[in-house]
Amino acid sequence: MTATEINPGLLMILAGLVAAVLPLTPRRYLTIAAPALGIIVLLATPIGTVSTLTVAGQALAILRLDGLAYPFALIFLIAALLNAIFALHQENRVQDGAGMVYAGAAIGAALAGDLVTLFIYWELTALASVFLILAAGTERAYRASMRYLVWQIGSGVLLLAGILIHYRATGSLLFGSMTLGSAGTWLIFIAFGIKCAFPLLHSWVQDAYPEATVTGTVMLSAFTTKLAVYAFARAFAGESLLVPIGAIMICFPVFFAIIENDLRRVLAFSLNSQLGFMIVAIGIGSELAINGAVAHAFAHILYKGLLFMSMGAVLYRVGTVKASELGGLYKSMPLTTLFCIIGAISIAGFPLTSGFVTKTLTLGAAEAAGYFWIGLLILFASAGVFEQAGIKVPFFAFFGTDSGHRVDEAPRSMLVAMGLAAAACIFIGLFPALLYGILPYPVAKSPYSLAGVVIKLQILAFSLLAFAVLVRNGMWPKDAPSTLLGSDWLLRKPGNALLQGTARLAARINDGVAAATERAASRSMSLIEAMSHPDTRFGKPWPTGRMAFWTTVMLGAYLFLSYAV
Amino acid sequence: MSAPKRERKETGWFDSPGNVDKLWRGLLAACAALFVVGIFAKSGAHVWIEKIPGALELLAFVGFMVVVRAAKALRPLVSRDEDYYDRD
Repeated sequence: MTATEINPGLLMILAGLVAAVLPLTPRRYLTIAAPALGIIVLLATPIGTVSTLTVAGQALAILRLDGLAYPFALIFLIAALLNAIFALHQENRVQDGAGMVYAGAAIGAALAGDLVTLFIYWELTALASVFLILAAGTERAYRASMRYLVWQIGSGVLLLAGILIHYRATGSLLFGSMTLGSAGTWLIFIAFGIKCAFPLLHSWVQDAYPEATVTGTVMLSAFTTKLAVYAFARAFAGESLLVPIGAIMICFPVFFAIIENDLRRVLAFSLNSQLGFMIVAIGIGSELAINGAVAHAFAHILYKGLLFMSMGAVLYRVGTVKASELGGLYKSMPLTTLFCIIGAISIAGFPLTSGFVTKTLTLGAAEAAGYFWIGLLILFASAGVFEQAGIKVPFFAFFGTDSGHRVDEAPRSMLVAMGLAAAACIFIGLFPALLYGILPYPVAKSPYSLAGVVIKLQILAFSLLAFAVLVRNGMWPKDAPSTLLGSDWLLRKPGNALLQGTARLAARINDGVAAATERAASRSMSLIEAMSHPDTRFGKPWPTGRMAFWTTVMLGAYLFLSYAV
Repeated sequence: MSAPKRERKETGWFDSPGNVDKLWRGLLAACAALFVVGIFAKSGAHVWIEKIPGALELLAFVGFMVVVRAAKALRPLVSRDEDYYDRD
């Protein structure tokens, strides 16, 4: 077997299954070695490789490495490696195994060339990832994981139904460009939309991600939603409906993030907003825009992972990530503070960071396609993202009012992972050509123009000024312990009440039917009893001769009929 | 979950109001400088609004304020107690 035939996704899945039964030390080596080996295998596999497997007469492209799949597979492997380093200090068998299977499934899905293979890996990401939430071991996490599973499996069921209808209509299982219109393509579109956290289908992100383990949240933030972005880029590039959907996704989480108290949940809201940028770019669909979406997803996995890692480190040391209970941690955790700030300036798109060089592509694509308002929205939403993830998270965790927590700096493994992710954010910002070189289409222009840099700096500086004015004058909304309602409220309150009401009604009907049946049964029993009493006509013993007579009559009738008919 | 607490210095650089004021003045200076640089540097901009001096700066500042006020106004509608979903 040559390197071109090894599927890095399968490699990770197998390693994950082995890791789940290994003792701690070899398991730690394996969690690092598997993604590292996966990266080597991927780099050794030439672009254009397709490997097929024939099952029941159907040729399935279980591995297709092209210009679009490559950057996603690569960043998924890099994320798996960083996550493994981040998790080294923890001893959690379920998390280690499930994390690798989850990453492997996402990589396998990115490399899938047909819809059946995609579906199998799609479901596997759902199943493996739920263990990362369950591994937190709390009652809240358990309940959140079940809600998460319902959404994820729901997406899988819709995908399967869509694939079957699409196959019947077209006779093709190829995972390629589709046109929205038939029932099959709509189902596939909605299945992707659930995993991509479309408006009203998004609540599982903010619900489940902040309940997972310290490492689990970092892992979750990397794969599921970006796999959906990849799926959209593959199947629905240029679908104009995605532009307004993405625009809504960019805007609405900003408001929630400002008043949310749990900082990991704030990051989950900003993750949702970031997905909107990618979806807008895919909706525009030009080569520049697809490059923008892919580059953004690549950079996003690094800086969002970095931000979730920094909050994970805070949760690990302090025991909480509630803004109302944090503050002044820069004294205890200076390096974590530094890394968090690098993640924050990257997500805000400061020049010389990965966020700048990737968002510039999308912005350029929006302007080139004549989406003036979308371009402006992207520009200002970057400022909005800056205020939620970029300012709020580092400010209220590490600065602000000193909460009095005096803890140790994050464990060394966490610092190494954060340091590598932070270095990658800056490195991509300094040398964008390296990232541009692996994008699906060639990039002609450098992202750095004087006007572009100045415009970005102006927006960021004046947003920061507004933040400073609000904080200095005590006008920033005070963080208070709270639960923010989202679209899942409909399911969790009226939906729940409806379900319980229905259950009560069903129970009452059931009781009624049971009682009526019992009454009818006892009445029949007494009737039978009454009829079979020796004194009654049926209960009386009949003489044998009369039985023999009637039997003869019956047999005679049969004989007559069999000849007569 | 947390590691044993160690003695650390109680006050940091940001605890001094003088230092915070320095940052504040630095930010004001940076904004002023960017405004001035922007007048000359944005000739390469593509979109008309980007070419008007001060327009983007004002939009960013006001936009930020409006978003924060709107989020604050949203609070009574969407914010509930922390155990809202756990009570039943």
